[in-house]
Amino acid sequence: MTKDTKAAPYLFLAPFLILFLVFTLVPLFQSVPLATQHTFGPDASIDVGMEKFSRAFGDPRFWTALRNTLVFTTGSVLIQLPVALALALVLNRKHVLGRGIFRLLFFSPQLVGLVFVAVLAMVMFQKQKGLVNSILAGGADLIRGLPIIGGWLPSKSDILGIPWLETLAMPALIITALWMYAGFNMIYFLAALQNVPKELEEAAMIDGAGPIRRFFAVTLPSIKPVAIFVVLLSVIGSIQVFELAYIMLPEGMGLQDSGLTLVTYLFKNGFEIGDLGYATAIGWLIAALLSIAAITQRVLNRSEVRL
Amino acid sequence: MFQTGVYRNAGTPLSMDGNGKVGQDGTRRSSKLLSLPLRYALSPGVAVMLVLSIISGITIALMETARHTGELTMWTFAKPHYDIYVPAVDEWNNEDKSEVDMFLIGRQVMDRRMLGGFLGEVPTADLLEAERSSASLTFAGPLDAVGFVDLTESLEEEGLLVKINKPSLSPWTYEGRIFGIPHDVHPVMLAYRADIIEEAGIDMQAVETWDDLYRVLGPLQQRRSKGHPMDRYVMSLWDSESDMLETLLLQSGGGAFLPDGTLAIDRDINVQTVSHMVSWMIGPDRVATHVPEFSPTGDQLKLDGHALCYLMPDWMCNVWRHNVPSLEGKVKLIPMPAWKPGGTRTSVWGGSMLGIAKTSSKQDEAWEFAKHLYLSEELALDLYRSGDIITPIREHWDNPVFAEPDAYFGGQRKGLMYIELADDVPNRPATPYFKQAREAVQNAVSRTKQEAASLDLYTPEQIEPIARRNLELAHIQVKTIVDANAFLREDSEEVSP
Repeated sequence: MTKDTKAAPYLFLAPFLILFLVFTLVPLFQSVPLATQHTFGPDASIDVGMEKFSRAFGDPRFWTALRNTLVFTTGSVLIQLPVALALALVLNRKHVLGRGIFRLLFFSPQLVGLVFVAVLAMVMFQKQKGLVNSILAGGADLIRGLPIIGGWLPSKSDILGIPWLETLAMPALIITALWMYAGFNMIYFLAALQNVPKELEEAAMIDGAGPIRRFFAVTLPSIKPVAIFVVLLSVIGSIQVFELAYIMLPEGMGLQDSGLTLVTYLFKNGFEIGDLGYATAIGWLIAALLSIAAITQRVLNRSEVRL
Repeated sequence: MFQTGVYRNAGTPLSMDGNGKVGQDGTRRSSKLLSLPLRYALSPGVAVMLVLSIISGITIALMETARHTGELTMWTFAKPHYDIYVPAVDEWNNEDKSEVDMFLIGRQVMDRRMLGGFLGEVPTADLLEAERSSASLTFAGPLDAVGFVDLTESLEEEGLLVKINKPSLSPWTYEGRIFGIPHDVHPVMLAYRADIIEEAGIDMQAVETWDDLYRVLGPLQQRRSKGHPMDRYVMSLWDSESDMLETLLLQSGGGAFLPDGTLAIDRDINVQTVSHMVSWMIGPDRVATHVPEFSPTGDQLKLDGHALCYLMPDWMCNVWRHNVPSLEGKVKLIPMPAWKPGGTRTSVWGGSMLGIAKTSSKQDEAWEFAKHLYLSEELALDLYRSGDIITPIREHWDNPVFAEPDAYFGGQRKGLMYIELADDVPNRPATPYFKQAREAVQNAVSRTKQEAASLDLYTPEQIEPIARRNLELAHIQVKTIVDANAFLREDSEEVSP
């Protein structure tokens, strides 16, 4: 290797490294002392030691935010990824008519962006005139005449008044995230499915394996690395959820903190209350949570390779 | 077999050949990497990107940027305010005085830029028109760290304090010092659907208290049925509307803070008011419903007559005028019903002020301009004509424009009606924690509503213990935030980074 050749990788990496250093690493190190201070601008600060961290552990709203975030993460992963995989399996079949159009349709929320989807969802989940409640009320009307079920159904006024964005924030957020990201994750699964060795499928078929057996014995193991990667991305993205809640919900968190997430709580403390120290402490706790998720993925991947 | 699959899924590394082996001429290939940028410099893809970047760069360079030639800069966050101020700013700039550049910027952007300017020494405007939630952010530290100039002496020496409606100064008065000139009074009245109510032969002038209102209008409530496609309730009030809850709490003499700024969410008057409000929202005889403001859904519900009565601060008249013009002549106003006979018939909702940044190098010129803008009669009249807003400058209230009949409100002399209530507008202490307190109270109301409904408790007396417990929890929650402010501790020792 020549001297120039050795320098080449660093040259290519330099733009990223410089930006990473200036905008990520330096603030990261600066945030360590910040989490131990109460500040009011750069000129006024009081050292409070580990008080901000201990406050978080005794703060019921922090635990509510953590619980909501974990509910959102679990809901997103357990619902979103199977749906994405199912869509990918269906649209990977060559005989599906117009599968290109379907792929585009399912992916389209990504094209219009998160803010647009959140605003649309906010309108759809509104009480009285919102699409979701109107459909539910219409559906209820259809079966209202049936025995037993008809008597059990709530009134039309009650159905139209379901407070999705107020006290049922988590289901509303999970459904919106499903709409937003199922198509996106479907693309990963589609790419993985197209790399599943045909000869393995054929061999399994010759051995008499049915579609379900082939899925669990051939398809799923073949796409497992991609699936683990998608799970990791979804978990990390879900733990960081902020924009959806901020746009869709009243005050960015719904009523009774029903949609309060960790990042929303960080934002509120840092930029509405002005307690940057507490916001930083929460940030570090989120970082710890993300690290656990990443390490888990690494462990899973290692055990995968050993297989 | 399985590992092969995994390996293939991972893709073939660039430096390997098709069989996954490192080539003999690895060095030569790597050195080729250096020439890649040159080799592809003029490829079609790069050429397209280059052309696009040049075109967009030129376009951005040619775009008209904000004019910034004046000696003073002013920021405002509200388009209606901006439009009203333009003539006054032009008039000022035509005189031989420090020229002013006025900019309209988003409220959240303004919050960040304002705090950045005050706390981080980032350039900021000389004059800032700030809404209550924005201005209060600057009161979170020691008194001398407030970024606005203390105007108390100037207002006193120039005799302006007596000219301004006193309660309107309260949100900008921190520890006895005044940091802004109020833009408005924002008294609140009760708007009602006169077309429906008067057709039923009901005289709203006879309504004095909230109990009167629900007794008189109760018979007009409807439940959805074949003859009635829409539910109808007496009042638009819901736990998701924190402004409405705060407005009613302030009217009752309650609120999250005492006049001196002390946190007092769990005081008796709040417990009683919340119990009553919740009793209106639940149960088989509920009288309140949710008609959101600033929402197409809410506008449609207003047109449908889903609620008969609405809380109406002066500025909201303008919102209705533009968003539901077809209700012209069908809406009328009365003072808010009182909580008890002889009680206060108004409250307050919203508010903004004009302050001068301490970082301004031309504070005297900024003060002269602030007076020209905010104290002029012409602006006061424009505020009312264009925005239905009552000026806090009392000497302008005699102007005949405020006595003109308003066709939208059935020909009522709306301006005078609001002015008559201006003295009774409740005080609101300046505190950086009012937004957190408002959220906490809102959550307490929501929890009380949910718990009471689940236990089938519908009267204020039954609801009171639940309301008290939830308000106590809300109090503790906000107190934790206040106590976390180390600057408010007596033994705090300030350090510089």
